[in-house]
Amino acid sequence: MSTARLEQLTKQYPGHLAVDGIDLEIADGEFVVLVGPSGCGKSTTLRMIAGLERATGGEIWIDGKRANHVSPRERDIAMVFQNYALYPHMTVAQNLSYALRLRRRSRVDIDRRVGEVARSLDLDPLLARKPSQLSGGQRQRVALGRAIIREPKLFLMDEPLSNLDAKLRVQTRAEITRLQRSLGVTTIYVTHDQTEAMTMGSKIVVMNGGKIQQADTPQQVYQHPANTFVAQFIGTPPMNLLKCRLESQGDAVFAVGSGIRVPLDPAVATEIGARLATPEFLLGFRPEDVVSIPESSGLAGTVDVLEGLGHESLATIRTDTGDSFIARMTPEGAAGLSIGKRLTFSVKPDRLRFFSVGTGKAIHLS
Amino acid sequence: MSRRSEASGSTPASVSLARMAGAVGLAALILILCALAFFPFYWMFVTSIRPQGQLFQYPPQLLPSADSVFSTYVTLFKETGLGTWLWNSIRVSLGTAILASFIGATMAYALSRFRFRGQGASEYLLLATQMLPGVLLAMPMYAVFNWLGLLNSLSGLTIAYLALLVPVATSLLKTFFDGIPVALEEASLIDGASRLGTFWRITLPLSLPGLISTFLFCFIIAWDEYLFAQMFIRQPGNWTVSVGLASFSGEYVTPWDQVMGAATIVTLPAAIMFLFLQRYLVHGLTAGGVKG
Repeated sequence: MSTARLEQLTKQYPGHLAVDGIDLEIADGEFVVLVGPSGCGKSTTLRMIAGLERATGGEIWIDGKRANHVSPRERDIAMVFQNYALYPHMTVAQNLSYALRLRRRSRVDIDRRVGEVARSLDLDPLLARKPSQLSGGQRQRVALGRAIIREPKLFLMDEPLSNLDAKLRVQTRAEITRLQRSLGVTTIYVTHDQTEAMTMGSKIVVMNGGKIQQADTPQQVYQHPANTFVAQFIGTPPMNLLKCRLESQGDAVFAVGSGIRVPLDPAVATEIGARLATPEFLLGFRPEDVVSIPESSGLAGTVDVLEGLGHESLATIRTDTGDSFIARMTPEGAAGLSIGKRLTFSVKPDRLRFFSVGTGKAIHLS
Repeated sequence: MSRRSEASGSTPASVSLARMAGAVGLAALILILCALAFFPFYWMFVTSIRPQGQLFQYPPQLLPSADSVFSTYVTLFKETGLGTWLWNSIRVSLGTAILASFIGATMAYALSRFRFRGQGASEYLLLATQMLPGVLLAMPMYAVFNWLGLLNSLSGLTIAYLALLVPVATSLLKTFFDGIPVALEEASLIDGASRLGTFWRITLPLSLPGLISTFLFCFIIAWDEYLFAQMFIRQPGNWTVSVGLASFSGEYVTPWDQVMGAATIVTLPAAIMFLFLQRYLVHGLTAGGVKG
């Protein structure tokens, strides 16, 4: 087991800054998921930790030792690749035992470890087969087996589920989570799939444009996104963001704009007003926090699109100004709806989030 | 479907009959092409065992006559230098093929996997060497070899062949290494192998078909080569088979039975090597390693 630390880690390719001075602390036994869109620098970061790419700036510390110039073989890490990277000319048993053979472990020891790993991953009947004779799921299990067989300091996983079909992906996701918990090995996992990130990681690191946008627990990232990018990247459908400004009416204060008029707690409104550099801000709320009510509380519009997903329905509501937001509903709640029908909603005040229009950063309330 | 077949007048029986006719036609075409390719070798062998008196018989007999003789082969080995020339050719061709494949593999690996200054220029230079006709290189090389004292030696001839074949071997193998996923080597590096260990344990076994094709290609080119061998080697004891074979053509008489016999023997090593190694030439060894 081990810790890892990245300090101002940078990767500059000719004409392209892939990773832009990131700092990250990974605790012993932690399951950290790097998540972000294609080209955000997450895989490059992982490859720098693995030693497959040389950092052009900053430092990598593994288990308290500076690892920038340590070769991949001496970092004592294991990696699962997106495309499995199984050695095609070797059998499953040879693939599993490759790292142990390189370390000149005894024949008895190798056979014992291969047996243990094969049993734990149900690979027993496949040991004599070549990778070309395996299904996608089986290949994935061999790749996992190859990583766990030598009990490394760090597991690195580069989108290991992206080549599996949807059903197998859910199964393998659970298997990896179970495996990581039982082995307790510090794991860094890269994915572009936010569902994987949310379900697997004990810490999520959202990346974009080579920078870390937010690094926190899945719940914290979902409930308190650090900026509009995280708010929209994490969550399906993404968080609704509507441009508003503060408007007072007597003692009451409202967030007004984009065809909505949402009442705010006066204390909250005062704090936001004090923090804003411009009169406008972005009001954010998750689709599941929108509740359909008979009387308007300032959130109203007509049904523009209705998507039934079986266990829930998503209604896109168009406001009077032509802006729109999404409301998540139960199938029963959506039963009587039709396109063009006018609806009124409310959002729990404690579920409202506020972002700066200029920087997109969250306005955190004390 | 069957209704449509009936409507157009083709029943399932007639469809399968048409398919069978097509298959028979294709087989016949393949047989004819094989016969065309094989006939010169057959004619070479039949001529070599024909008694002297029947060599220019008209009309020519396709089948060997009952009084065929193998005395030509005995004569070839007893009275000419064919045995020595064969041995010389084997040494030069094997040496060239092994060295060109080895040097080519290391160069190709570097070009395929590493990024370095002058990489593009190196690749262009390798290609450029192939644009010059051999005879253009032969003259300056003759002068250089003369100066170095490498004329009349089989090692010198091997070096000359390497100059011709290393760029070809490098280009052939680079294409092959480019096709091997880098992720396999990265996985091996992380598993604990050195760069050289990875090359030896992962890259080379996976590129075996490419290595064998390159080896065979170099062997056959060196085996068949005439121009350099004729220019650089003067002593008959150091001749290779191509030069030796040409020496049978006399000013007044050419012993066609001996020429054909020697040609048959000369064809055999390359053919045997090809037969033994052809199963390794089958591609697809990398199938299943990475999801593609």
